Amino acid sequence: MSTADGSVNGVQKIVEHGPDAQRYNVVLLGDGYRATEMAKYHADVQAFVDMLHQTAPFGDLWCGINIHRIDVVSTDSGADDPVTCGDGSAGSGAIARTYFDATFCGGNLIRRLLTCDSVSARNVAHALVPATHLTMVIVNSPLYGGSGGDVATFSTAAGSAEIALHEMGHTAFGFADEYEYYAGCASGESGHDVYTGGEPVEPNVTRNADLASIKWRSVLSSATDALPTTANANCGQCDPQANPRAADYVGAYEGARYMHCGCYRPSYLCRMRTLGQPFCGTCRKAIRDTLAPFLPVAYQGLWWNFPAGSESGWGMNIAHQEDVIFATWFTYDGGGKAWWLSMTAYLVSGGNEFSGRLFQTTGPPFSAMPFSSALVVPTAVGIGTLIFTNADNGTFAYTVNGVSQTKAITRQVFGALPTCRFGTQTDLAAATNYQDLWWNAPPGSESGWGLNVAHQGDTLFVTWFTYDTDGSPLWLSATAPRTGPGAYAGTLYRTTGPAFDAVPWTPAGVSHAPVGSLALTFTDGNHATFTYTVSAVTQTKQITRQIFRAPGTVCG
Amino acid sequence: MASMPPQALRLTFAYQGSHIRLAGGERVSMIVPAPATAPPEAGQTGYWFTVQDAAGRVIYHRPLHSPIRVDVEAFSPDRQPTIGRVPLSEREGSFTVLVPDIANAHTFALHGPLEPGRPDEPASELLRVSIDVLRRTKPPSADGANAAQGKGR
Repeated sequence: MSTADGSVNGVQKIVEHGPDAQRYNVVLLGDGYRATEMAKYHADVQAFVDMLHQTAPFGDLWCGINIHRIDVVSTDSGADDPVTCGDGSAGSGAIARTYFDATFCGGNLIRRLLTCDSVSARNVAHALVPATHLTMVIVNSPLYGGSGGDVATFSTAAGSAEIALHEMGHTAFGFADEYEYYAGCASGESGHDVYTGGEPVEPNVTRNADLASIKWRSVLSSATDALPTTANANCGQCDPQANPRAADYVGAYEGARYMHCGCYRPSYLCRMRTLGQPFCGTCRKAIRDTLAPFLPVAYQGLWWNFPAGSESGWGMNIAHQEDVIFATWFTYDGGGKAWWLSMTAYLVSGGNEFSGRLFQTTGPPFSAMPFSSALVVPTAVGIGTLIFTNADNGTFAYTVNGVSQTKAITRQVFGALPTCRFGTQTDLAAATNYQDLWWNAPPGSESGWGLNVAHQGDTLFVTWFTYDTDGSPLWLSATAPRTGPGAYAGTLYRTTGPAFDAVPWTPAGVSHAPVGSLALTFTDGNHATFTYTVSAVTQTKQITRQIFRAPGTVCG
Repeated sequence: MASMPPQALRLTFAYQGSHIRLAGGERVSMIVPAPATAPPEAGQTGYWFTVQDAAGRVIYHRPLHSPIRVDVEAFSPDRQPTIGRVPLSEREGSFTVLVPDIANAHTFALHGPLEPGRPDEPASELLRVSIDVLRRTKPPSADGANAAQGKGR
C-alpha cells in the first residue's frame, strides 16, 4: 500500500482567479478513489470548495484564491480500517490499496484519526502546483475521520470537512486551539489548571485581558465593556458558565490553549474551539490580514487620459468591488457642457477586462428638497469596455451615440497614491482613507447622485455627479485639502470643455468657473457630512459609502 | 516593462525527538502570506520563525502551530467536546515553511520551546540559517529527508 497502488492523472485549476504566482493556492488531492470513481471525487472536491466559499471570511477573499484539484487514482476504494486500535475500538479490518495509504486509527491511537502519507501528498502537490500554499487530502470513505499537520486529511463522511477547516486554521493561519482542556473537561486531567507562561504568539489566544492593550482590541465588540468577559471561578476545572454575551461577541473569555485559567480566547465559541462553529471575529480578521497580499489590486480611484495631463479636463472615477466596476465618466457633451455617463461594468475575462452599458441620467436638480429618486431616469447611450494592463494603466473603449473611440488611461496622481483591495476590511468605519463612491445616507435614500472621492495624502479630489436646474446631467469638482481631523474643504468648479469625441481633444479648450464651495467632515471611515454652497443654495447631506459588493473596497 | 514575479523559499524541516534539521529548500515564484500578528518578542511562547536583515531587524515573521508534533487532535462530531488531544508516542516528522526571498533577507531563525511538550515554556531560538545558504539548498528527497545545513539544537 503505497504510491505503487495507483497513479497521478493530472491537475485541474477549478477555482481560477489569476496567475498562481499572485494568488493563494489551495491544492486538493484524493485518496481511495478508483478510476471509476473520478466523477465522485470531482463532486466531493466541489462540495468542499462550495463549503469553503460559504465559510466566512473566505467568500469575501475568494478572488485572491486559486484551487487546484489533482486527480489521483487508487487501486482500491476507501481506506484501511484496522480491526483493533489503541482506543479499544473495533474496525472492519478493511485493507485498501491506495496511493497515499490512508488509514483510520493512525498511529494506532484513535479510530477517528484518519491519516495518510502526508510527505507523498505534499510532494505531489508541490510537483504539480509549485506555488502551493496549502495541501489537503480527501479520503473516499463514509467513515468519519481526519487529521492535521502539514497536510490536512479528511474523509467524505458528513462533518469531516469541518476537521479540514479547523486544521486549515492551524496550518495556514497559525491559530492556537481555543479549547481550555487537553483530553476533555470530564477526563479528570491534571496540569491544565492555570497558564503561567508568557504571551502566546498565536493571534487568537492571549494572557493579556487588558481592554487597552489586548492584542485583538481592534475587533472587540465593545470598546468599553469590562474585560475579561468571563472568568473561571474554579481553575481546577473547565468554566461551566454559559455565554453572557451574544454568540459572535468578541471580548476575552477565560480558558484557552489547553488551560482552564490564565489564558483567554476572543469568543465563547469559535471553529478553533468547537467544530461546526464559525471562525470568531479575531480569527476572521487574521485570515483577512494573512490573505490580503493575494487579493487583486482594485482599480478604484481617479483615472485620466494617458500620458498624464495630455487630456486634462475629463476623467473617470472607478469604484471597484470584487468583480464589478461602477465607473463615472465626467466629460462634455456636444455643446461643451459638463456631462457625465455611468457604467456598471462586469468582469468578462482574464481578470482585467470589464464591460457594461453606458447610461446618461437625468434627475431632480441638485438643490431639490426632497430629492426624489423616482424622478431619476437613466437612458442607455452606448457600451464601454475597460481593459487594465496593470494596476495603474489600461484602456477605455466606448461607443456612445454611434461614436467609437479608445483612450489609453492611467491613474491621476496628485499625492501619495493609495493601494485599494476588495474584501480586506469588513468594518468600513475603521478605514482611514476615504477613496470611494459615496452617496446619501441611509443607503439608497437619494439614489441617483453621488460623490466620487479620490484621496491621496492629505488631499481629496471630489467629483459630484448630479443634475442641473433643468434636470440634465451636471458634474462639479473640487480639490479639497485637509483642514482638520477628518475635515476637508475646497472651491467647487463648474467646467466646460471640448466634446467627449473631439479629435484631437485639447486641454486648452477647458475652462473652470468657481460656483461655490464644498466641505466634507468624516465622523469615521464610512460616514461623513457633505455641505455645499452653489449659486446661493446651501445644503448639508449625510453621506456613506456605496457598497454594491459586500464588504466593499478599502484603500490605504 | 513587466515586473519580476515575487519569489519565495519553501523550506522543509525534519525533526526527530527535539532535534530539528533543514531537510531541503527550493525557490518558487509565489507570494508569501502576510504576518497577522505583531513581531514576536523575547519571552513569548509558541513557535514562530523570523527573517531578519543584515542589521538583525525582523522583516518577516509568522506563527507556526505545533510544527513539532507531540500530540494529535481527536475529533468527535457526535459528542462534547468535539475536539480533544491524544499524546503521540513518537516525535518524528517534517514540516514546511514559506519565507520571502527578498534582497535584504539575511537570516532565517526558527523559535520554539526547547521541550516541545511544554507549550508554556518561553521560546528559544531552535535554528538559525543564513538566507544565502537557504538559497543554495536543494529540494528535499522524495521521503522528505535530505542532507542539509543549519545550526540547530
